[in-house]
Amino acid sequence: MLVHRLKRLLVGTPLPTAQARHERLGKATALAVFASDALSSVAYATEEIVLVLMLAGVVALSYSLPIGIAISLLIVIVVSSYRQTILAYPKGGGAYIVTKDNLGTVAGLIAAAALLIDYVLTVAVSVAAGIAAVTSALPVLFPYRVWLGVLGVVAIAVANLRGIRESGKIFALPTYLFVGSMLLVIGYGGVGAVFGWIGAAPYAPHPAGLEGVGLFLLLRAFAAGCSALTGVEAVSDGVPAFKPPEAHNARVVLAWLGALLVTLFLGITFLAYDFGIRPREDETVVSQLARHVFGTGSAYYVIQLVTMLILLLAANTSFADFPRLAFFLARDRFIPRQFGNQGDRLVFSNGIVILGGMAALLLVIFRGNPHALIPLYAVGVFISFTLSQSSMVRHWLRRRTEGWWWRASVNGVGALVTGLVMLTIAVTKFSHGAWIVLLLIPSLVALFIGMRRHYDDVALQLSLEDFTPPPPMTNTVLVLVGDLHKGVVRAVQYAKTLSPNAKAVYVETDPERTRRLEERWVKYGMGTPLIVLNSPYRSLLGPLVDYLNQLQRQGGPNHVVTIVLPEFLPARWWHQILHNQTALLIKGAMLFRKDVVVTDVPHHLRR
Amino acid sequence: MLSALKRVIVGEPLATAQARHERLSKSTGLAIFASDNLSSVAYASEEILRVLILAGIGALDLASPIGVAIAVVIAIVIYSYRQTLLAYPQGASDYIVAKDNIGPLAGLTAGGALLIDYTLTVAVSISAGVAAMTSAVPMLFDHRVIVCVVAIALIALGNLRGLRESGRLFALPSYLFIAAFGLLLGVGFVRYAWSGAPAPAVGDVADPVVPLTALLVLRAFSSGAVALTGIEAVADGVTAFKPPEVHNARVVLAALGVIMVTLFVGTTVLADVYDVVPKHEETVVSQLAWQIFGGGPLYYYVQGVSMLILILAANTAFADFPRLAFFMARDGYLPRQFGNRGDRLVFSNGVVILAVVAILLVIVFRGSTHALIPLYAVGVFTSFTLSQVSMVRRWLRTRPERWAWRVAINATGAVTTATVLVVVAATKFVDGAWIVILLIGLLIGLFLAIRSHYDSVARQLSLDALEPPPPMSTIVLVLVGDLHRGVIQAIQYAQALSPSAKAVYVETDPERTRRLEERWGKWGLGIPLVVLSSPYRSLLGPLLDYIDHLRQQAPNHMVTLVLPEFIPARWWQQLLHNQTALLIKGAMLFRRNVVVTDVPYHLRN
Repeated sequence: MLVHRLKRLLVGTPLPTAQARHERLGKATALAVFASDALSSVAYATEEIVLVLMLAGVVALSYSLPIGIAISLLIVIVVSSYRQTILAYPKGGGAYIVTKDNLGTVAGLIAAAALLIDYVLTVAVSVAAGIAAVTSALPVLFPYRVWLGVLGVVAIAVANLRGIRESGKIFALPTYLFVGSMLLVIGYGGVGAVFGWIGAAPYAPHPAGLEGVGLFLLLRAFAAGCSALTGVEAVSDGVPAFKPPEAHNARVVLAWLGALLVTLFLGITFLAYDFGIRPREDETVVSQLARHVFGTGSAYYVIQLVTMLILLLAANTSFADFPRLAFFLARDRFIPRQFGNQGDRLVFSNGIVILGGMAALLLVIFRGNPHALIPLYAVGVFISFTLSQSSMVRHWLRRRTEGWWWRASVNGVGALVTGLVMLTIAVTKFSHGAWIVLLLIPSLVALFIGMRRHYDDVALQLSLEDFTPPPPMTNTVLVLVGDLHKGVVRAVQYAKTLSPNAKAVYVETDPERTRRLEERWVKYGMGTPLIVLNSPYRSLLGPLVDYLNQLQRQGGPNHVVTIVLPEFLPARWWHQILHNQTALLIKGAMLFRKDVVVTDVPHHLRR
Repeated sequence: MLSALKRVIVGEPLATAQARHERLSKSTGLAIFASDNLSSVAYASEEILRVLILAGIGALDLASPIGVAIAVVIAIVIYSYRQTLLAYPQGASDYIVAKDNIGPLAGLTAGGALLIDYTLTVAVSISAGVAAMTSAVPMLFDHRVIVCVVAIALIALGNLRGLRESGRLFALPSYLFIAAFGLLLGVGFVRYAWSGAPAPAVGDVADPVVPLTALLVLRAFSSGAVALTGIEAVADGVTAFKPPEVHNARVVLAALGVIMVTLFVGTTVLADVYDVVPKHEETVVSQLAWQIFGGGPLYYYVQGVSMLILILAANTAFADFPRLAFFMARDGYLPRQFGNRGDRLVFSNGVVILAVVAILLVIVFRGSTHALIPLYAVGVFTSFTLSQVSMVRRWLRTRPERWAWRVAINATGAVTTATVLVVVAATKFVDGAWIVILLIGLLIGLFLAIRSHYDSVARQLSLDALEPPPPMSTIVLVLVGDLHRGVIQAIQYAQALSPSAKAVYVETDPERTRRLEERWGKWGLGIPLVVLSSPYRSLLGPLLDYIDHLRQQAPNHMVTLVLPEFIPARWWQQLLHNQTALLIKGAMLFRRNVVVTDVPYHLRN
């Protein structure tokens, strides 16, 4: 009861099914809603590149510029490819659906597994990075970052259990504030750098490079920076949410998104290099940059706050995407049905709870450190990119619609590039954590297929095709008696309503008690015959099972034995511990026995 | 699978008729009942020294007089228990003695104190036994907590199998222990008389941290009082002796007293004259044995036997705790489950609870004997005092032959143990005795609450003055969510229960209802289908409303809700299906006059 009231307080009162409706988004709002995931990665992508390059010492930092440009090119390619996908899938082209349609079930499941992992990591990485933005500004909070992260995840999960789909406008503000403040940092800082009124950051002593600058290190830095691309696919997943003409609007928004992402990412990468900012454990690169440009004033704190907000919003988008993908998978019977149920607030509660739990677990295991999580992150994203782009190539080749050759080549380039990037990431980040994801994806796929098999098998066994109902059922009713009290009298009475031939059964452990019971039975047994079974080992179950075997041998076809158990229910649940759990024991033992039905007759105690 | 594992570990079930009482001769009885008490020789002297060292090395000379004082208490308590034996030839557990003579509350106090005491016996004995081992094999010192936990788990397993037949197993280590300490004391004193004390070991001894006060001496005394734990075992177990039981038990008790006083005083004085200084990672007995025997086989013999007897001491608690729990469960002060004998004829629940709590204690106190000792003696002396006071009351009431003499003996015992109790409680209060005092209070409250619950249930279920119940009938409903073979079977079952059974369907989507109704004509076996509308997609709400509606129509009658449930071949496959049946059973559990019946449909793999 208390749990129930608590749930209502946190989650809200139930909503009727008829209230489900789709809010349509204008371009400006849609950009805010779908861009938060992609844009928020600006807050950590540059830092990830610089962190890897630092291994070769300060000199290697100059390589951050070409790497940044390469990643920007990659963004352009991926965005162009997804603009093609929108044309082909105006109803929403999540990688799972697109891949399953064009490349087959297994490929679709690989994409789905990669995406599920990706969504969990999005929550963990975004929240960890958001908390890092806060602890950069308020270093006193640094020791509590793991708990702050878990608290953030729980808060977002609770909000999503209430259902926040109607809240498009809430999204718009932080996203535009973030874009605005980042543009301000880049603009003001860039002009300041050119005219020289903002100098380089003071020199901080730093350990010498541990490695030489080699191709492998550069590729690792590139792979680390690829986390900037996460979330780009969100627009093409959500086409139906746009105002008509949906596909057109979605393509425009995707183009804007690409432009903004490239601008912000390149701007931050260039400025960070120009001012000579070095990565630190306790302060993010973006925080150092903002502090350097604006000084530690109110502008700086506003920027940190907005950064945290957009990162939390990015985590929030996963809370919409993960349960939706889980719903599709459950509908196709690849994961448990429970993920297909909408809760009483019209949200997919199970998916939200699982996602929140896993993300919180990751934060605890990786001590809330975004850098430790990033290597796991990008592999999944690029696997789903590659599969989705390859699917589009297949799609165009099959359909041969107008301009198919051009479209196939755009998606072909996208598939090739994302495929190469995926290989690069998998190889360079393998020992840093990518192996976990590469191991997890096939395991998940195997699990999906196993579950599908189970569901198919159950459906086959329960099917009514070619089924002729057996002859009418006959029923023998037994009441199990251990003592004689009000609850037993009631159970005997109930058994007699089920069958006039009901019998009582008593398992004897002590002949003296049997004698006393038989004496009283005459008075209270209501004429029901009492059968006494002998038990030399004091076990209740053994003699009972023997007796059941005997009854079932004698019973005809389609014969069922019903065991009626008198059970008294204490007024408080913890009183239950004070009583022998005989009923539970018998139910457990009979669960896997055919043609036996166990029925509790509860007798409710008042206190 | 689980059952097979249990059989391998615990053994085949034993028939009730197999329960028999093995009778013990005096020599075996001494070995069995003495292990708990004698084993405290392995740590009691050390506990005295550990307190005295706080006032510097000079204070250690007080150990001998304190040891003698404790020996006097031992003599008094043993003499008193010899009286108790005369009055309770069927076994004189302090719980029963106090309940009989003073009243239930005193009995519960003694019972609570003893349950705590038995748990601590396990924790302390195992910690001390492992300390004996790590003194000889120092590299195990870092792993002592794990070693302790494993040892407790092994003893618990042994007891789950039933160790009653193993009397002879106990005899050997007890006598080996007595022999080892006899040898240690003999050689030690002879060498001392021959060549004087060896040069004191030069060690980095800490400076005195507190002055030598009367309070410190009292604290040292109460630490040493742990030497009395386990004395009551003989009185509890009279019935296990060969006839004449009482006579034999009294002889054994006297012998125990003599041996105990000799070993304890001997060890304490020897430690004093050899100037042993307590160390963190090595026991005092180990240091003594090393000084007297050198590092040879005799040293390892002493250590090995010390460890063995301490483990045996823990083992006696595994016999005593479940037995006391059985008595208290029989009187309704503990959950009934403690009264059940498992299929190996042992009180399995008591064994398991004792092991779990003792393991927790060992982990919480990091396997340190000295941290546990302050908790220990309070419980022991509480039950001693109550038991002695009970005996005084009993003699005053029954006035048998020579009652005045008997009263005097038990009164002396009561006063002595009560004084020790006050001293122990006062001097050890902040060190941990408060936990035990608090716990005894809480346990008494718990016992009384459990008893009052059982009394209330018995009253509510009583058939006294039961009027003949009004006739009963039942309305049978089958809950249908879909139409498959399992549902057909459930419909057939409902038809077997009542010819007027109805099917109920909760509608979440009108389209699905239409399809179900179409197929119902063919597969419904002629029973009517009731469709309930659910605007919030909830299954329970509309169903509960409908059932309440039916119950209002026929208030004295039962509603039977039949649930078709398919059971997957493997338990984990259950996770893949909606837990509707469980949900409904949970919701109906506290609703009167509703019976929920699962009809299982078993799937093949």
